[in-house]
Amino acid sequence: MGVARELSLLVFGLLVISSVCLLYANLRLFITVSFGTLNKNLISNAVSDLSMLELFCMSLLILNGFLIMFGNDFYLGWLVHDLLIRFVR
Amino acid sequence: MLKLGAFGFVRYLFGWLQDLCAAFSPYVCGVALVSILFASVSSVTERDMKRLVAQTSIAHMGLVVMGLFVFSESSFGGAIYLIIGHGVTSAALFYLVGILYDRFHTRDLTVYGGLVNLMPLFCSGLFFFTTANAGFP
Repeated sequence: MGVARELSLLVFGLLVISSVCLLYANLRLFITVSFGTLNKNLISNAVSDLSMLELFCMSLLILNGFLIMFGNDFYLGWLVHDLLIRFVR
Repeated sequence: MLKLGAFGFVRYLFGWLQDLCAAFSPYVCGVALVSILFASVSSVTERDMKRLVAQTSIAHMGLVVMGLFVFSESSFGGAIYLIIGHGVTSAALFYLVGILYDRFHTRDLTVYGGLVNLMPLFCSGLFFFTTANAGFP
């Protein structure tokens, strides 16, 4: 709400357009890689899934993502209200 | 590195040159808006996966700069939250693109397809982080 109050309607419209573009680009990345026809020249059926190390690293990143989603008090309370908010007038 | 620039804004520029930042904030918001629009529109037609992730990162950081220079408490909190969230999602997306490049030696998006049957764990992670990068949750 704080941002929306300060911006004009035109800027808000441009932000909506750009967010739709970003949504399309990200979903295109996922859908193109995951679904569609398999390129037999490039990808063989013997390709391996994630190794244990890769799986561990990705699990760590997903855990961080969930912490950010559900642990707002920790991140925002620690960073914003304690350290950074002093610079806002 | 992008997040380091935003941290520099917050930690040093707003601390030392607060009045100057307030005077120039409409211009900075305008530049940030142009960068958001340009990066997001150009990411629509991008074929290189790494460049696609980089362009979405540029758009997100433009939003962060805009939130910081609006100078309200909620926009500041949102910008910091976006910095932290984007630090995780963009790192993860670069990591996943790197995994694909390590196996197939190409970053061209159009040659990929049908990986959900061969690499289900990879596609689960890709789904989580692309939706997070798009701002779904």
